[in-house]
Amino acid sequence: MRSLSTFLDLLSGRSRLSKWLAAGLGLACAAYAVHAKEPKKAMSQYGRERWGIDRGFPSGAVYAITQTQDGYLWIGTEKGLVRFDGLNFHLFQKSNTATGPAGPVLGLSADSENNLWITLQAGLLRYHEGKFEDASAYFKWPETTVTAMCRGKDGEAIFAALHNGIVRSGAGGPLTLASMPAMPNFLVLSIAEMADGRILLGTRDTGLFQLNGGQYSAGPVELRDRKINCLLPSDKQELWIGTDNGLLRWNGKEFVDAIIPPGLSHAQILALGKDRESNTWIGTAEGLFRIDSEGVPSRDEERRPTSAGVTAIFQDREGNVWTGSTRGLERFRDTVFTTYSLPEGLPSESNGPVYLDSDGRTWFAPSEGGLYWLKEGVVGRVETAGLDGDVVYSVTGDGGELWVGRQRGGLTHLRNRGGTWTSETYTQAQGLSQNSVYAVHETGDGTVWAATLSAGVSRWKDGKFSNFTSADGLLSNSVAAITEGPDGTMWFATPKGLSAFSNGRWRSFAQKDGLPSEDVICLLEDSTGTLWLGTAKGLAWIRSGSVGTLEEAPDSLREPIYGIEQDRNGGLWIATANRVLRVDRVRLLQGKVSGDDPREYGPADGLRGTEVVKRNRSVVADHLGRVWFSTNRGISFVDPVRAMGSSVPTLVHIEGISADGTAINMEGGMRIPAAHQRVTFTYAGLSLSVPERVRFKYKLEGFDRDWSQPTVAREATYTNLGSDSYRFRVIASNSDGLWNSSESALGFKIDPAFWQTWWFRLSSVLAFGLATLAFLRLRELRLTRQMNMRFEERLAERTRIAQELHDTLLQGFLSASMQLHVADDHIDADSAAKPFVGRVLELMGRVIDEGRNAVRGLRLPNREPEDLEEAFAGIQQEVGAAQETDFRVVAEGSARQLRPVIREEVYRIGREALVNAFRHSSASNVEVELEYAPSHLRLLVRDNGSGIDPQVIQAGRDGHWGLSGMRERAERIGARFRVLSAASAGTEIELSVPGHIAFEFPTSESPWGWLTKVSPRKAREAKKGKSEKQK
Amino acid sequence: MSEEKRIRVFSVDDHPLLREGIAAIIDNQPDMVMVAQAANSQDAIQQFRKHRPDVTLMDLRLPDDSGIETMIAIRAEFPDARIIMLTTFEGDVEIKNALESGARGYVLKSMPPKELVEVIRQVHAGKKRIPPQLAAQLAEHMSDEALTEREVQVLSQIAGGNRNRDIAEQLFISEETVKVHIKHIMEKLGASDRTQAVAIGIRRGIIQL
Repeated sequence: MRSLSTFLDLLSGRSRLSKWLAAGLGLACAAYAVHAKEPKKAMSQYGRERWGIDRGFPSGAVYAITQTQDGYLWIGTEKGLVRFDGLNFHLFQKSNTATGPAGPVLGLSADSENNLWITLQAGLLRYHEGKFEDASAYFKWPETTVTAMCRGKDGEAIFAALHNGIVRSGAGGPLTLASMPAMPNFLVLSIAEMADGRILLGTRDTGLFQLNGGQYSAGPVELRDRKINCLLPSDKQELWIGTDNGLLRWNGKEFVDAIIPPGLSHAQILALGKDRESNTWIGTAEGLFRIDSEGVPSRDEERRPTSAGVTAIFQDREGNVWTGSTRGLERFRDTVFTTYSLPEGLPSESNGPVYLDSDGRTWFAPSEGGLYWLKEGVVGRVETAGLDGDVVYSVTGDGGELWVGRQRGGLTHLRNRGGTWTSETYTQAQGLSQNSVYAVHETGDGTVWAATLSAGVSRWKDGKFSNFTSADGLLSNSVAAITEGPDGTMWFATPKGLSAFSNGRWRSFAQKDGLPSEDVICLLEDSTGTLWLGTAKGLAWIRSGSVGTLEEAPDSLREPIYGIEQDRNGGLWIATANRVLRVDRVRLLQGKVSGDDPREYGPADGLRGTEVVKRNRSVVADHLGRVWFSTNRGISFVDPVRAMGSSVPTLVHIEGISADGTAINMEGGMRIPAAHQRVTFTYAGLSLSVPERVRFKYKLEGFDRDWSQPTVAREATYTNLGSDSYRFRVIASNSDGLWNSSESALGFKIDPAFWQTWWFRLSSVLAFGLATLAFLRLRELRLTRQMNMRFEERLAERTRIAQELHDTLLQGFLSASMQLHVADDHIDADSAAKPFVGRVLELMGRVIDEGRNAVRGLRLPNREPEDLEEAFAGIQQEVGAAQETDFRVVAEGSARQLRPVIREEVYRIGREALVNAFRHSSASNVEVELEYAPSHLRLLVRDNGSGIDPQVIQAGRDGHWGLSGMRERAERIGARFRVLSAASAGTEIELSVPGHIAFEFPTSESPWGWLTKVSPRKAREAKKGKSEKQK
Repeated sequence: MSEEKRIRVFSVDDHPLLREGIAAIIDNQPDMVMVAQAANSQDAIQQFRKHRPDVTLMDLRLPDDSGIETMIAIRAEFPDARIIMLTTFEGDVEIKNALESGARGYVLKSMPPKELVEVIRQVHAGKKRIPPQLAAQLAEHMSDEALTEREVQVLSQIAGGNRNRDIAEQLFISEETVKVHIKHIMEKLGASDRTQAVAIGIRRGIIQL
């Protein structure tokens, strides 16, 4: 234990600090190396995050960690199997997954065939495509007891199975490499495959073995007395071996003990892992250690003194190192920012200016005072010229020289001569305008400009100071920053604008020139000759003498800007009052920067604070292209190349769909029952580095037109989706805001509700149609009934009249006729009265006949329907009209049986019209057209005669024209009657009788007859010759 | 010609004018004598008992009962009564009914008086006599299906201008039944509507005005 604590002491920052405090006073400059070599990155400089019970991690010790190809992190714990998506844990247990793991999960291995192998106390489980199954089914073994497994060099899983030997999984099924050697107490605890294909087996009691081509052999080293817990093959022949009694490193030929820190040489090693920076991570019963590629060991100090045994180590696909202990899960993220602060040995959290010299020293000046440098983890202090007692406002330099602007001590020139620093200090006594020097700048020709707090600027050139104040043309005597243009123009940032000094002349840029604010805080002359300005109200630039600003700047770029620096990848690093941002320079100049463009960095990226101090040179670049930030929580640098290089895409998964809160089975052709109000998609974006920064865009094809706005939400809800086919698509950005994920999509259908089905809609239409038909039919029936009632009344009346005729007139005539016959008998045959009486008797006979017919109501002969045409055709002759008149009767459509009453009325109206035409119109052409349409009977009587005076038609004073009689008749039978006539243009009389009134059997055909049956009209000449053209 | 040898004629008609005309014809015949006249059925039966005429001219239509019923009543009492039906119309059904009920002759009022007196003489001589035009009419409908009693009732109601509902009420049958009857009537008469059915009914003497 003693050796371990020595090691720990050596690594301790506190011990480093105490030594550093005990520095010798006699030296002008002191540097304190704590270790021969410092690690490139201290354990404290990782972005670290822990998950314990307080953050949802199921309690219990962690035994294994791995990651499946879909991006989920799997953790084998005492309580069962845990899946982690970066934000949420899901525990698979027997209690919530029937086929899930029971009891502790002792080992995990994910292979390239999408299998996750889960070692339990009894047996092995295989998790594949969302299902757990006993691995015995895969191996076709009666029982499976795996004591160790690993991921082979080609991505397959290799198992050490107690009864079945060494077996390799693969696309073609399991392959047994060798059965277990017949050796007593041969129990494999660890297994690993070397790059050359040898499989190494670490046993509990019998040391290390190798399996090569199916043959076992001892070695490569003898470790008979040690229980081998873990094996970590490294490059080529190198092998790390973790035993119950210390860590061993075998380089293929011998043990390399030198780099094994004493504290690890006998520690109980529980887990080993390697990251992509070639660091070896070591989990021990005493906590976590790391040995970097240079062999420099570090120990995780943060858990001391309560650190728990680290039982699992795993590096994920993004390079994060995960460790598991009895207390939970921890992630070490190799962040793009590396921060130095108190834990790394810096004297102060908050510092002023930063300056990087060409020797790799980082100079910094704590706000409490003093000037320090940092190189390879070593911190040094400059104590000369009273610098340790003064606050340094600004540092610049060139080669081995430094110019230091001080709060009280003026301007100090430091020179490194053979490892010692000499100094020369200039104050007001030497002509400096003020002893408070806020900003210093050394130009290419060695001229030094010193800007004072409130007395303008001093130029040191050729051993002399020249001072410039507002009196000379400087905008303000307070100058915040100085820089130099490529043409030698000196630029001065002041609270009242930007001053430029060139060839002895002063120029000014103020708000009127386009500056967002006259309070200019910092300046950057970039490599393309653009001068960037950080003002109290955001960013501006000057190119070719004119000021440019962003017309629509994101809010973050409107904040006060304290520092600007350029990287070698075309980016500008901008420190505002509260943020550290990177923006693309060209896009800025093009004005194409929108709200999401400035990439903002924070604690997740390794910055401990984002408040950059408001000091000259608080943001500077070094000769490696790294950009340094002096923040209120230490000094951080970013390697822009690494910042840009993190492009591991997020893996997106649609995890589930629920409808109104009920999960929908996602297998097969997905159908969601109808009438659900709310459909919710849950998805995950698997990026384990900074899951909080993952953004999603989704789109429901069939509903959304465009992708959604980027969102952090991991579910999307849609309401009131209609019945249709949809496809839900989701993409994600990675932690660096790159939208480079592949897409996850899921198609599904929403079943139609019954009111959305085609048959329902069709039947609705049909029902509506039927209702309309029924309504029309009812109306028709009502009209018909009304007509029938009228007919019945008429029948009764007619019967009564007939009866009266019969009883009075007819009987009287009969009697008179009889008596006249008697009288005739008495008249002599030669009497002159005889013929007269005979004539009277004949007349009386005719009257009696007519009377009888009238009584019998049989005015029209009982004829077939066509006979209406025939009846019309006979009228010309009947009325004795001139035979020269061209008269024709035309029927269209198939003739249908008319109700006798209607036939009679139509005949009478037509007859009246024809009589008018023949007698009064002097027409040369008269035409009757009868149209039998399904919906109506139409009668047209036209002539080309003199026409009827429109006034007569209007006023209805029809005299002998009989128009009103026709109208009344038409009205009685519910018909439409129309007279079209113009003087000397002929007359047309139109009568239209609705079909249901006109026709005898309006519904005797198909009920839809009048809807569907559009019989082709055929014009048909009347049959009778007399209706043909007469000439 | 002696009083005894002359044919004693009895005229039954509710129209006084017509009775007057018939009387004029009969009285003009030397071999005939008008012995009595009656204007209704009851009177007709009483007068017949009283006068025992040789030949009776019976109008089909009487105010209190039909001519045929009256004839049947008389013939029930006096089976050898010779009765000639005298009507305005030549309905086949009436003719048929009349002949079946025992009428010896059937004459239209509009026939020339010579034919009437000739029929009287023939009937008096013990013959049956139907004018040829009526015989033809009768033959035309011989094969026609006769309307049932109920159908005749319904047709009469129709002729009276009654609606189906009224008919149903009056005959104590359902409206549906009325419709069925009307359908049968139309079929039997070959009529296409109610009006025509009534017209045919009247023409053929199925119903009387």
